[in-house]
Amino acid sequence: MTTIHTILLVEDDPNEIYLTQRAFQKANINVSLQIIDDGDSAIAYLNGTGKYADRQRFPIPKLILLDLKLPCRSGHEILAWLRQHPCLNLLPVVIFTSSREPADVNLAYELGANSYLVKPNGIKALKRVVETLTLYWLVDNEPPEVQVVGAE
Amino acid sequence: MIQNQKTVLIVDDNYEDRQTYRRYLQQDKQYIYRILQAESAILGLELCKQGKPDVILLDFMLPDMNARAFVEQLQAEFNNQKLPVIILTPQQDEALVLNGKSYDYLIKEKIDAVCLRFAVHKLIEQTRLELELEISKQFIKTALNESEKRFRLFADNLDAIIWIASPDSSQHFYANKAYEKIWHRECDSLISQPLSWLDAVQKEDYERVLSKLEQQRNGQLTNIEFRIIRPDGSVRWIWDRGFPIRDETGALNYYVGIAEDITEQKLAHEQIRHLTETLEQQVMERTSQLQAANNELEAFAYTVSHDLRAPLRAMQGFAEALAEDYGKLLDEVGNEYISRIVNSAQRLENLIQDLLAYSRLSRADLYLQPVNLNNVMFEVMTQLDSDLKAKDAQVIISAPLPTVLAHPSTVAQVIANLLTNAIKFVRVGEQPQVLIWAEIKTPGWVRLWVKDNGIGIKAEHHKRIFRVFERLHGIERYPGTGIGLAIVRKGVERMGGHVGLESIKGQGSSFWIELKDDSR
Repeated sequence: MTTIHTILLVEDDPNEIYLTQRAFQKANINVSLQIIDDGDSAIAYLNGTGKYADRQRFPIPKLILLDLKLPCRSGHEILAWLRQHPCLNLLPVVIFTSSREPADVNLAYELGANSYLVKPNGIKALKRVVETLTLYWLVDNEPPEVQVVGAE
Repeated sequence: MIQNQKTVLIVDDNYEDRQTYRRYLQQDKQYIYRILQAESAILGLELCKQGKPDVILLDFMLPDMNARAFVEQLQAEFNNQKLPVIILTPQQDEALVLNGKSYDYLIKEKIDAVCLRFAVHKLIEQTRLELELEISKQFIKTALNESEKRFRLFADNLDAIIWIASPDSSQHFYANKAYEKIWHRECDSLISQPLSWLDAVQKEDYERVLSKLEQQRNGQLTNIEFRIIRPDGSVRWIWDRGFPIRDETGALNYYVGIAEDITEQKLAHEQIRHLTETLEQQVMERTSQLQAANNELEAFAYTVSHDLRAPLRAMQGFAEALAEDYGKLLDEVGNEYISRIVNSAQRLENLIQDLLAYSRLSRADLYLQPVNLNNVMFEVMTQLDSDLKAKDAQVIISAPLPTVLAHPSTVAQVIANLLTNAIKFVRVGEQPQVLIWAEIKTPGWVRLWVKDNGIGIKAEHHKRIFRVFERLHGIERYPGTGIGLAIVRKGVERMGGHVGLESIKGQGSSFWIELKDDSR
C-alpha cells in the first residue's frame, strides 16, 4: 500500500472500538481508522460539515464499516441517506454488526450494502476478519470513482 | 217385519167408503197395515193422540169439522209438523194448503186400489225420507256444532293469528283471538274494517306490507316479516304467510294466512348476532394482542442478538486480549481462570445463537422448494469437517439421496444438528460411526435416517429430548445448549414434516426426519 487509506468505522460501543482498533494494530495494517460513534455525526463527517469540514483531517473514506444499532440514526438510515447522495452514493459500505436477523440482513442489502459481516467472537477471529476485509476491499477490490465536490 | 207394518187411520163418516179403502189396503203386498177407523173428526183426533199414524186418509167433508180444521188441530197437537195426510176430496180444487205445507189429495170418485195404494206408498216413502233428512240434518247440525266448537277451541288457544280474507283484502272473513293478543285490537274491528290491521304497521315496513297485498291480489304465496306498533306503543315483530285458496275451476276465492309474533325470536337472534360480533371483536383483540406479543418477541430477539451479545463479546475479547498481552505475567492458575472466562463467554454466545436460531425458525416464513439431499449432505459434511476430523468420526452415506420439498438452509441446519449429536454422544475413546440413508415408508414421504453407535437414549426420554433446554447429561461430559434437537423438531415441523427416533440405551440411536418427497 503506497497511500494510507481511510476507513470510517461507525460504531458506538467503546469496547468494540477498542478491540477493533487493537485487531488492526495486531494485524499490522496501516490504515487511518476514523471513528464516529453516532448516526448524525456519521452524516456530518460524510457531508464534510460542522467540525468535519476539514477534508485533510477527515477525508472521504475508501470503505465504511457500519454498525446497525447506533444513537441518533441507525445504520440502515445512514446507508439509505448515503445511497441517495449525488456524490457519495458509490462508496463501498460493509455492515459490521452483531445482528444475524434476516430482516436486518435483507434490509441492508436492499438499501445497497456491499457486504454484511457479523462481528466474530474472540480476538483471533476478529483479527482474521480485519485482515481479509482490508485485503479484499482496500487491495484487491477495484474502487469506484468518488467525486468530491467543493471539499478541499 | 215391524218395518213393513204401518198404521193407517181412515177418517170418514161413510162406512162403505171406509170398508172399500180398508179392502184396497189389505190387498197390498208391500206393507201390512194396522187400520184404524174413525167416523168423525173428533174420534180421529182422539186416535191420533194415542199414537201418530203413518198415514191418515182424511175425508174432506166430515160432519163435525172440515179437513182444514182437522189438520190445523192435528198440527197444533204435533208441534206444527207436517202430517202424513191424504185428503179425500170430491173435487180437484179442494186441495189443501196449510201453513205453506201442501197435502196430497185423491178425488173420491176416482179412487181405486192402485191409486190409493200408490198415494199411501208415496206418503210412507216421503215420510221416511223426511225423517231421514231430519235425522241427517240433526246429525249434521250436531257435527257442525262440535266441529265449530273444536275449531274455536283450537283457533282461540293458538298463539298465532289465523286469518281468512278476500284476495283483494277488501274483506276479512275470520281472525282468531290471537289477533287481539298480538295486535291488541278487537277481532270484530278487523271484520268491520278489513284493512284496520294495516294502521298498526310501522312506517318503515309499510311499503313492503303493501307489496304483500299486491302479491296476494296476484294469487302468489306471501311471506313477510314486519313490525307493528300496539296502542300502548310497544313494537312487535310479525311473521305473516298467506296462501291462496282456489276452487275446482281455479278461481281465486280466499286467502288464508297465519301471522305469528316473532319478537322473542328476533331479540334472541339479535342477541346472537351481537354475541357473534363481540366474539369477532374479542378474537380481533386477541389477535392484535398476539401480534403485539409477537412483535415484542421479535424486538426481544433483536435486543438479545445485539445488546446482550455486545458486552459478552467484549468479555471474551478482553479476556483473550488479557491472555495474549499479559498471559506471560500470570501463573498457570491465572491463565486457567482466563480460559474459564473465555469458555463461559463462548458457551453463552452459543446459547444465544441457538436460541435466536430457534426463535427465528418459529417466526420466519419458510418457502419450501425442491432440495436435493445429496447437495445438503455435502454442504453439511463440509461445514462439520473440522469437528468430524477432531472426533475421527466415520460417516457412511448411502447415496444417492432423494429430493425433498424443504427450506434449504433449514434442512441443512436440521441435518447438521443431527450429525453433530450423532458424533457427540459416544462412549469415551470410541470412534463415532454414523450411517445415513433414506427410505420411502409412506408414499409421498422421504424418511432420512441418521444412525449412530452412541450411548443411546432410554425410551422414557424419547419425547423430552425434542424440547428446548432439555438435557440428559452434564455440561462437562457432553457440552451443548439443549436446543439442538428442539431446532430439529421445530425446523422439520415448520417444513410440514415429522421427526422421531428409535433408540435403546447403550445401543446407539437412530433419528429420522420425514419430509415431502419431490423426486420426479
